[in-house]
Amino acid sequence: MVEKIISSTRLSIICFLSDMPILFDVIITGIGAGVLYGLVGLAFVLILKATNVVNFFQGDTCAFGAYLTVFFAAQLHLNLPLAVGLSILSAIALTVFLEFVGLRPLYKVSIIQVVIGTVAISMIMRYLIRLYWGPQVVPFPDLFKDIPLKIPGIPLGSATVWMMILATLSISGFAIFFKYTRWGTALRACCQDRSSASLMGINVGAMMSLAWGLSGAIGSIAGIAGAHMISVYPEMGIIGLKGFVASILGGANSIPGALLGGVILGVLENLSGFYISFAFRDLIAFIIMIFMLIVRPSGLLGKPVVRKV
Amino acid sequence: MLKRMSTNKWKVGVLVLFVAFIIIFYPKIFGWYWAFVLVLAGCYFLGALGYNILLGLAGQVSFGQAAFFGIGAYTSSLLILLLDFPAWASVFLGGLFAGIIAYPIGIPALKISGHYLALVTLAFSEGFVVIFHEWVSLTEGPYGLKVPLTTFGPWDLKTEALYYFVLVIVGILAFTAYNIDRSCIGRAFKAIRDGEVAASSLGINLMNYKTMAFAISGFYSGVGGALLALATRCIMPWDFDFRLTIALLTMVVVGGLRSTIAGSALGAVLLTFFPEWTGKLLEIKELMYGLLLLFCFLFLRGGIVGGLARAKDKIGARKQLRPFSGIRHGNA
Repeated sequence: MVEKIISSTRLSIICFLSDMPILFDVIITGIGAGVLYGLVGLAFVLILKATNVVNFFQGDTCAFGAYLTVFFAAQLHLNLPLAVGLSILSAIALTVFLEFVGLRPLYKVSIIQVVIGTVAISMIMRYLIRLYWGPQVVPFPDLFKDIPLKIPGIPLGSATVWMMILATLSISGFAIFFKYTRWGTALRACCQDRSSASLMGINVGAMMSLAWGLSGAIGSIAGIAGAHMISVYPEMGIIGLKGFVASILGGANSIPGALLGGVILGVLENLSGFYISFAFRDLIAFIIMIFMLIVRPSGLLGKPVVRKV
Repeated sequence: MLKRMSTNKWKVGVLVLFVAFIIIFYPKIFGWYWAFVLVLAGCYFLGALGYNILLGLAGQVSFGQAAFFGIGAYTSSLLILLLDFPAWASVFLGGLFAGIIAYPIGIPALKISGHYLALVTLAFSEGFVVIFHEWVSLTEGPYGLKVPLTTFGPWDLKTEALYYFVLVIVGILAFTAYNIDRSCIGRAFKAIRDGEVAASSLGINLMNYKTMAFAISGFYSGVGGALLALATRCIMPWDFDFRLTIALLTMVVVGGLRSTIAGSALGAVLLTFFPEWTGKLLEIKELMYGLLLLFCFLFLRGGIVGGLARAKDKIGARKQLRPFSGIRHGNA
C-alpha cells in the first residue's frame, strides 16, 4: 500500500517535472495577457480615482481604438504611425465628449445612475461598431512587422513583447504623471476631496475631463497594442471586464496594483485553462473578483478606504 | 373637495374595469399572435418587477437579474423534462430555487455597495451563463433545452390557455408585490434605500432585509423565467446573458424606478410591444435600450409613471393654486 502511494507520488512528480517547459510557457503567455489586463485596469483606476465611477464602457473604448486603426490604415490607406496616432486622438475626443454629454449631468443625481449610464453608452458603442464593421472578426494590420523583437528562450511573438514593453512604459509614464506633474497632483487632489480642490483653485470639471480623456487614451492604446492577442470583433469590449478584475485584485486605488493584478489574473487564467478546462478560463476571473471584493475590497496593494457616516 | 374625490374614484373605477375587460377578452379581440406577445410581456414584467423590488425599492444595484431569470427557466424546464412535474408546480419551484440562489447574494451586499455590488452580481450572472453553456449533460449546452408541451388540468398550455395561465400567475404575484410594497417589509426596504445607517439605527436588521430583498427579487424573476420557458418552449444559455439584464433594467427605468408595479408593467409592455409592432426595431434592440436608458436619466427621471405624476401635480397646482403640490414623485 505504502509502496504504491510512493510510486504514484514519484510518477506524478516525474510528470510534473517533464511538464515544466509547458508550465513555463503557460505562465509566460499568461504574463503577456496579464500586462494587457493591467493596462486596461489602469484606465479603470484612473476613472475611479478621479470621479469615483466604474466605467463600464472602458472595454468598448479599447474596441473603438482598434477599429479606428483598422479604419485609418486599411480603408483610408494612411501610414501606420499616423493611423495609430489619429485613432488614439479620436478615442480621447470620443470619451471626453460622451462623458460630458451623457454622464456629467448625472453626477449630482446618484452614483447608481452614472454607472448605469456607462452601461448604456457601452451598449450604444457596441451596436454602432457592429453596424459599421459587421459582427465578424476584422483583420488587423501587423504593427511591428518591420521591427521584430525576440527574446531567446521566451516563447512570445514579437508583437506580444512589444505590447508588454509599451504597456509597461505607459503604466510607468502614468505613475510619474500622477506623482510629479502639476496636473497629476491636481487630479489627485480632486479625487481626495472635490470641494476642497475647487476651493484651492483647481478646475474640477476640467480635471474630470482630463481623467476621462486619459482613460480613453489608455483604452485605445490597450486595444491597439493587444489587437493581435484578442482578435478585433464587436464584443472585444469583454477585455474591459478582465481589466476591471485586474484592478480589483491589485487594489482599486493603486497604479502598480493594477499591473500586478493583471499579471496574476493572466497567469491564473492560463493555468486554469490549461490544467482544469478551457471553459473554466472565463470563470476564474469572476471567481477572483467575487472573492476579492468580499474578503479584501481594497485589493492586494491598495489602502483600505474608511467610509465615514 | 369631497365631491371631487368621489368623481375621481368613479373615473378610476371605470378605467380599471375597462382595462380588466380588455385584458380578459384580449386574445379574442386581437388574435393569438398578439396574445403571445402579451404573454412574453408578462414574463418580462415579472423579471422587471423583481428588478424593481431590488433596485427601486431596496436600492441595491444588481446586474445579475438575468441569472435569476435563467435559473428559474432552467429549473422549471428540467423539472418538467426529467421528473415530469406539473406546470404550475415547476413554475413555483423554479422561482423558489432562483430565490434560494439569490438569497446569499444579500450577504456581500452588507459589506459592499454601489458599483462594487453591481460588479459582483454581474460576475455572478456571467458565471451562470458559463455554467448553462458548459454543463452539457444537464442543460444541453449550446443546443438549447427543448421543453415539451405542458398541461394544466384539462388544458394544453398553448395560445389561449397559456395566456390565461400566465395572466393568473402574473396577477397573483403583482398583487403580492403591491402588498409587499405597503407592508412593513416594503417600508424597511425603502428605509434601507434612503439611508442604510439611519435604517439600522432605527432597528432594521440590515442582514435580514437585504438578503430578503435579494430572495424576493430572485423569486419574482425566477417565476418570470420559468413562465418564459413554458411559453417559448426552447431556452438557450445566451438568452440569459447581460443583454437580458439590460433589457429588464431598461423596462424598469422607462416605466419608473420608484413606482414598483405600474412602472414595471408599463415598461415591460411598452418595450415588448413596440419592437414587435414596428418590426424593424427588433434588430436595433440594444441601441434602443442604450439610448432609452440615457434619455430617461437625462430628461425623464422617474420614468413614464414619475413623469405623469409630476405633470398631474403641475396641472393640479395651476388649477387650485395650492401652496404644496403634494409629494414630489420621481427623482430616483
